[in-house]
Amino acid sequence: MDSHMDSELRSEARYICDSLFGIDGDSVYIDQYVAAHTHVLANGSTDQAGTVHKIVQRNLDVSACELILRRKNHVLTKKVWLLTYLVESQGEKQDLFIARGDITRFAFVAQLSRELAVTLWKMLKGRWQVWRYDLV
Amino acid sequence: MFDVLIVGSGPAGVSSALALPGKNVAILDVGKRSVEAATSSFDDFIGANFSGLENLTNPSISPKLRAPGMRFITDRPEQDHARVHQDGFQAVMSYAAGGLANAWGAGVFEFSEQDLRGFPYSSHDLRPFYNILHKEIGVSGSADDDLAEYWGPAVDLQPALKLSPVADQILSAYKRNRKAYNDSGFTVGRPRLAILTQDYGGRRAFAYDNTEFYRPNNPAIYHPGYTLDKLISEKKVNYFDGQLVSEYHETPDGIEVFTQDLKSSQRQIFKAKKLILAAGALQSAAIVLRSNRDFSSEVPLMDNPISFLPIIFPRLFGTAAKRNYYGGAELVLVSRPKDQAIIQASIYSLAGVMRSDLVREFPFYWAGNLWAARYFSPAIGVAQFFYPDSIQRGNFLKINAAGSINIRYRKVQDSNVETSLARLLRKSGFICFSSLAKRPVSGSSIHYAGTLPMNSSYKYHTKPNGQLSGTRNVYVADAASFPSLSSKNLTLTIMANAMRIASQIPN
Repeated sequence: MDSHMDSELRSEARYICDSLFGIDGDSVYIDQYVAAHTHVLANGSTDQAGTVHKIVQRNLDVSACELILRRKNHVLTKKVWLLTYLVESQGEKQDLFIARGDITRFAFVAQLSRELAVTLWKMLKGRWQVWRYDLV
Repeated sequence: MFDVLIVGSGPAGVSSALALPGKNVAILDVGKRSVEAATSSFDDFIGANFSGLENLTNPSISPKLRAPGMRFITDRPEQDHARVHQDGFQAVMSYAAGGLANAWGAGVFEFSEQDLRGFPYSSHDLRPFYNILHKEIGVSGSADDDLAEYWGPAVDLQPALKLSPVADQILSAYKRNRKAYNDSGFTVGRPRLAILTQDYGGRRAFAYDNTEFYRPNNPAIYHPGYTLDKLISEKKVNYFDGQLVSEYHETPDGIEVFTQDLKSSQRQIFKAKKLILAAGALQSAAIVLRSNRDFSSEVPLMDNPISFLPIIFPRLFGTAAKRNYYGGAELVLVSRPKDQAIIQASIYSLAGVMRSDLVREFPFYWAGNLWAARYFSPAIGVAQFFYPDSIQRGNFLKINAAGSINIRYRKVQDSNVETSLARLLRKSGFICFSSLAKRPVSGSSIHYAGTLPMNSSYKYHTKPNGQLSGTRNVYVADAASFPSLSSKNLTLTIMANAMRIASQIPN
């Protein structure tokens, strides 16, 4: 892997970590993210890789774009998923993955409503960004 | 010269050896072993070469087989003989000591007369061997639930594993509405499992530590490698690992088996009076075809089609994750559709898998999916249906001139069993829709059989005593000899039949 590619992947990792998990992409995740690409995502489409690069360069909404591109089995979804595995496997951010205590039915319904509303908003935003920036 | 050579150390191989006391027996095996113990959750889930992420590009791979600690089970040698070309099929083969059963579902299910329809032997013939194997393995389950009669007699049965909340709800719903379920042909109960709930035979009881999908050689979960190691340490077999068997030749006084020694890359010859093929239905057939230099014949192939149906109990939404349960089959559902063969389903909770495995399954934006994986998963169970199979034209295995395996398989699966079950579960307060069922590529059940069937209408067939047609000294002990495939996990019956065959081999 050349140094340009390496630095592009590092930027991606930092940007996705911050956007999706609200955490700084510390060096462990970033090193693993770069290394994982040579093992599991080496043969992706170059057009789709270009889309990911564009999302990072233009500070677009990763989760909104991913929601729209997911249906295409897009490399963006695989990259986001890869980072999710890396974060879970480190065992330090377990609260993101494991519910430690029960929540009330009201709190559950309220949160579910919020997630639905945000999903609808992200869908609209994602459609617009995919169209506006010609993301393929 | 050995009395008997056995190819393979999986369920059929070690069971054959068990039934040959006093004989000079050798096992030829590639014999891959687990490498090193994991020291972190990253080692458990992902691994240094990121094999735990193979599902990103191969969605059909099971969480168990992609875990770094379990990769030795499906690691293949580089040689042509270990290659598989396939169309409509995803073959999983093992070259590990103990075979694929290193990662089996641990279901210890005896075949009934109905399961053995078309076989030239009966459950009565297998009974003594089932009893021996129950003692060798150590089995847990319930002796008095609705499936007790279906499973058959229990020998030294240990108590069943504790149930996860979602499995408990499914069993409770069944008990409350037993008549409706039974009238629709369904029965639900606890499986018989090769998992210890009490210490037994020097092995510890199940620890509920959620590592069964990631770490090999869990002492509570039986696999044939334990029996293999015992046979080796008691000097009851001679074990030759690193041997990839390519073919055999019959000689006037016995048999010669040709292998490639994977350590030295040299060709080796082993001589014996008798040969037992126990390398699994795919590899045993390939060895036979290579030995006959037959690159054109197509031998039949069977595999249990499977499907996965999610079952959701909404009252458990929002509950804290309780992961100290067994991640494999907690319940078994048996469906007896009118005038059709039995269909069996194993029911799991999601206790054993990573939340990242589930995160793509929800329809929200990514962080919403993470939230859903966190708070929905304690409420979700999965019914894995296994459908029976029979020998069908068009589903076959052959070898090419390089000795590699070619497989072509076309799945035929028509059943409304998922729809009927979903309807009943919805009446009991579950969210369950057959339209959500997933059907993975053929071969995913890893229940392969019938390549050298006990059916004389095929060119290469096995006689009732296990002898391969057209040979004097070759016996087939694995599922290659099965003439049909029931929906039950076949491992215990492979083992019992292997013992039956080995015990009948003449001096």
